[in-house]
Parts: sequence; C-alpha cells; structure tokens
Amino acid sequence: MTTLILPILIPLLTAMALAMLNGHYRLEKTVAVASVLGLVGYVFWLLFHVDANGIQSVVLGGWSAPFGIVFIADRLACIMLCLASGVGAVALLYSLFTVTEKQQKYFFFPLFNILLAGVNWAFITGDLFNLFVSYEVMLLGSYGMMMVGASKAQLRQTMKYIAINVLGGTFFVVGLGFIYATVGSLNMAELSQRTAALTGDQAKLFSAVTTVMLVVFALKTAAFPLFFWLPDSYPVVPPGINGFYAGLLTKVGVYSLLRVFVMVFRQPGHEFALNIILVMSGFTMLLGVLGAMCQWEIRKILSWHIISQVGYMVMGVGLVGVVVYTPDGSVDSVATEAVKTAAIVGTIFYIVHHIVVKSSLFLVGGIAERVAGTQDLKKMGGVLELAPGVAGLFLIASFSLAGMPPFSGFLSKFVLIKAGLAGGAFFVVTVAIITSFFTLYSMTKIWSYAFWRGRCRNHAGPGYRGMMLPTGVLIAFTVFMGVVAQPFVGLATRAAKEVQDPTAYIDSSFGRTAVAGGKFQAPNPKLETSSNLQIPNAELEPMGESKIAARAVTLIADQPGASN
Amino acid sequence: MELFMAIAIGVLFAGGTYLMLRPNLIRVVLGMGLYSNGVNLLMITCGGYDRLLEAPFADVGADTAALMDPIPPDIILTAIVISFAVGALFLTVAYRVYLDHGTDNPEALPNHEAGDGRDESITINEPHGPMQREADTHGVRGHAAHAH
Repeated sequence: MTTLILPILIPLLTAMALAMLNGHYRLEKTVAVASVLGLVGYVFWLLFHVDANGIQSVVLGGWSAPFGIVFIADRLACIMLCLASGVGAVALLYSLFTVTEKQQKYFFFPLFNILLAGVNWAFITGDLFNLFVSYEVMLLGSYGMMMVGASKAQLRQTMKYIAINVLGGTFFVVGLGFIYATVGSLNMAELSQRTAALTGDQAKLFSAVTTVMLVVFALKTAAFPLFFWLPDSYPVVPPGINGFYAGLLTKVGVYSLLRVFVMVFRQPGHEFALNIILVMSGFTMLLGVLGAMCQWEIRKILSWHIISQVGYMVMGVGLVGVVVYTPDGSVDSVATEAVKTAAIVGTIFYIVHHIVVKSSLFLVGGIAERVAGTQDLKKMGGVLELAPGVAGLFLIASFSLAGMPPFSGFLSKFVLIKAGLAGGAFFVVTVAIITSFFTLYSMTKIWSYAFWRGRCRNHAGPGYRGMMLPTGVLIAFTVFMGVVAQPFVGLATRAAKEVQDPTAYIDSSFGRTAVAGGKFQAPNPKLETSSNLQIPNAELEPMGESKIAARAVTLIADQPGASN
Repeated sequence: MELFMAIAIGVLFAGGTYLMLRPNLIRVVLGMGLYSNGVNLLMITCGGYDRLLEAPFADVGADTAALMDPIPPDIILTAIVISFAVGALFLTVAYRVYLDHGTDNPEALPNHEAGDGRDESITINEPHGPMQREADTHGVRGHAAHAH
C-alpha cells in the first residue's frame, strides 16, 4: 500500500511550503490547519482499513524486504498514528489562539510539522535504523520548537535538552552496531525471526546487547533514573504545543520499548531486560509523583506527572516479562501467556488514555494561565469564579489522570493492575496504587490554589474561550473512552495479539501472505515497490548472514569458559 | 585490526566523556563530535571491516563473497549527516546562550528564573499584586500567596 508514506509526507511537504510562506501569517495558519485535518482523515481511515484488512506494508527504494526500508502499519502503529495526528490537530487548533506573530516568524508552524512527521515516522517504520533517523527528525523539530521565540530560559533549557538527546542518539547507534554485529540485521521483522532462533551463549550475548537499547529508550521515555531532563525543559515549550510534547514525545519511547523489547527481541532470556524495566517502572511512578508534589507552577507539576504516568506504561511493558509458576514450581505457560496479553493490552490502553488526558491537562493548564495571567500557583486564584467552564474541564481531566471512575484513567489502571496481580508483581502494584493517591493529592493542590481560592484579578484574561473548544474535544474523548470502553479494549486486544505473536507482522513485512515454519518463501511478485530497480537479494543475503554468524561464533568462542 | 579499532574507539569515547564533563560549552560540543566519530568507527568494526573486500556496487557481478557488507557504511553515512546537522545546531545554540547569559559555563547557568516558561501571548496590564486587594475586598484570606 503505497499511501503508507503519507503520514510522513504530508507534514514534511507542509513544513516546506510553510517555511516559504513565512510572513503571511493568516495564510500560514490556514495551510497548517488544512494539512493537519487532511492527515487526521487519512490516519483514521488507515486505522479502520488495517483493522478490517490486516497489516499493510510498503517497501521503499526498490530493494526488497530486509534490505529496503519497510514502512509497516499494524494496529498498534495505526492507533499511535491516530493519536499523534489527532492530538497534533488539537494542539495546532489551540495554538491558533496563542501563537504570536513573533513566534510565527521563528517558523512555529513548519517546526510543528517537522515534529509531527518525525513522530509519525517513528510509529510507522519497520526498521531499527530508520527508527533512529525518525528520532533525530523528531528531535530536530522539537529543538526548534522549544526555541521558538528565543527567550533566555528557552535557549538555556534547549541546550541541555540537545546535549542529553545527542548523547541518547550516540548510544542508539552504538546499540544498532552491536545488534548488527550479533544478529546481522536491523529490519524489525527479520530481527524478530532471528532473535527467536538464538540459543545458548548467543542469546545471552544478545540479551547483554539489548541493555544498550534499554538505556536509549529509557532516556527518551524519561524513565527512572533518566528522567531528570524532562521537568526543566517541557515548561519552556510554547503553550498548546507543550500539550503535544507531553502527550506524544515520551510515548514514542514507550512505543519503542513495547515494539522492540516485546515484539522484536524474542531471544531466550529476554525477560532479563523486561525485569529491569519492571523495577525501573516502580521508581519512575513514585519519584515522578513525589517530584510533582513539591512544585508550585502548573506546568512543572504537570511535567513531573508525565514522568509518574510514564511509569505505569513502562510497568505494563515490564509485566510482559513476568513468568507465572504453578504451586509445584514449574512454569505455568498458559497463565504466563495470559498475563503477557493482559499486560500488552493494558499498556496500549494506558497509552491511549494517557496521551489524550495528559495533553488535555496541559491545554487546560494553559487556559487557566491565560485566565489568571500567571502560572504560579501562589499567585493564581479564582479561576473557578472567572471561568467556570475551564474549571469543569480541569476537574474531569485531573480525575481521569488520577484514575477515578467513570473516566478512562480508571479502566486503564484497572487493566494494568489486574495484569500485575495475575503475574504476582505485588510490590509494583502497591506502588502503582499509592502513586495514584498521590496524583490525586497533587491535582487537589492545583484545584484548591488555582481554581478555588479568591480571585487573583478582576477579569479573566482575553480570548480563552476559543482555546476551550479543541481542549473540550480531548476531554470528551476521555469520558467517552471510559464510558464506552468495549470497542477500545477490543481494538487494544487485537493490537496486543499482533505484538505478542509477530507472525503476521513478519509476513507482511516480507510481502508474503503465508508463512511455512519460519522459512523464507519467494517474495510476493505483486510486492509494491516505488521503483522498478530490483537488486537480486538472494545473492547478497547469504553473504551477510554467514559472515556475521561466523563472527558471532568466534566472538563467543573467544570468551573464557564458553561452553557452546 | 579489531584490537586497534577497539583502542581507537575507547580513546575517542574517553576523550568525548572528558570534554563533556568540562565546564565549557564549546568543549561539550567538541565532546559530542568525538563521540560521533567513535560511534562511526564502532559501526565499521561491527560490520566486519576487512580492507581486502571490494566496494559493493550492483554491477560488479557474480562474486558477492568478495564484496563488503554495504549496510554499515550506509548507516555511518546517515549518522555523519545527522551528527553534522545536530552539531551545527548545538554550536549555534551554545553561542546564543553565551551571548545571552554572558557565560559559557553550563553550571553557572541558573536552573530556573522567575518568568521561565511564561506564555508569551499573555500581556499583563493589571497593576502589580492584584491578589491582596482582591482578597481583601472579598474577605478571603490571601496569606497563601506568601506561603512557601
């Protein structure tokens, strides 16, 4: 399906067009809105198409599957695309009311589109190296976006943000090199096949290699102990767009963890990394919320909550590695598989809930700031009196974040905690429940200071009503998702099954319709390629594989005490 | 050859780490440069560097075993472009930070100042400190404004 490139192409072309339109303020806004709405239409169509017809893929550049760049859309990728584009559209509509001409001069809209292209790219790519490139595109967009307006604070925080992310990118390439040296491929489908076939010391070597990727993704996800960069840098992002940052950027890391550590790395003993992730998740949840409790600015509190909430999703990923034992001490494989499915479903459901709610909280926080004229809780007050609608939106979003029924936060936490109890991870589950109480406390603090206290000014700040409409759409979605949960859980379950058993993903990636015992079949002659150039891959492949395998064997044989 | 490469990569990473820990922005940027070179060498080594192998052109013909694996050079090329672009941006930002703050020591930069992260589109035209007056007229205690 050639149109799979559109989620990247539309924002990239729009970014170029908008860069040339710089200075035509109204025209720029019109083009940006039209493009993002078109994108939303396409990705929602894609979600329904993929849900009905199975995984879609396209191979670019004329090379066939493991060598060419594969873009592949399974249900999980489509869900993420819809969230990215949907929240992107909301953030863009919201920022129509906040963007200043100065910010537009600093390429506000082109940078936003580059950011969106990078995020979409990360979700749709089927190749680890391409994932690295998409990270860099996304990060370049986010560096620029963070500096729009070029205030002193923005420059200072962006510099730190660049430094930490360049370091992350460096280790990404290091990890890719190690993976290529041990397994001989970077295509996710092929890697998934090859890692599942690893045995003995090779599997152990590969498990060690994957920890490099764990560091990279944990840094991007802002998981413990690599979350320190987030609370300082997110508050300087322009309002509206910080909703997009809060919702999507760390979730690209969570998505990568889920995709790579659950679906791609399947070597025997892959639970090793997942167990580390589970331990990290407990610390992430608790430290994030403790950090939030001692802050006095709305955006800082919400930024710390991102960290805390990321812990829940990371906990879902970590629960995939839980092994359930029967009372006599043997592995209960049926129960283990059930816990795995439940954990992946919970993670996906939580990601959907979190992206929507976290973004909307940032947007509401921005409106409250507009109404009160400041974001310092010690100076705010009376937003309930000045703008009751805003207070209502905030109340729903914060209840949903803390996990009160009937909003989506309750169900998503419920699914995750149930999976954790079934897997016997009682300690992490306890931490998760305590964290959700602290979350409620911290939201109460914002509520009682910013909304409930006496008025801090006579009139609400101008022009906040327009900002409420896009925010209201997101809030309505979290209510809808909590009340009508069945279709969402169903979709998440189907997506989780695809992640848990990647056979269909692998087949689609190689352009095949059926698989026979993991053996390569002849590529589908109808394989869609964007040009006619065909390189005979049958000749290239054995060379790469045998050489790499031989190297891996010598590498292991050199180790003292190597048995296999 | 691999031993030599391992030493070279180790030296580059060690130098990069040293530079990044210096209290000087330019050195941080240079440290990043060393890192990216170390990574590129690592990638060459991981791809099975062997100078007896031919460059992998599609028209060379039958003996593919004599060709080099093309993927690591591909990756390195992309990584070079990306690290160049990000390095240029980083250098620019570092210079702007120096101009704005008058120091290039990242540790001397304040972590947080009043007014950080303010919504630029908000124009505050009310007199300063409206809270107390409001609180007085409405009979609401405004002491929390001074709480720490």
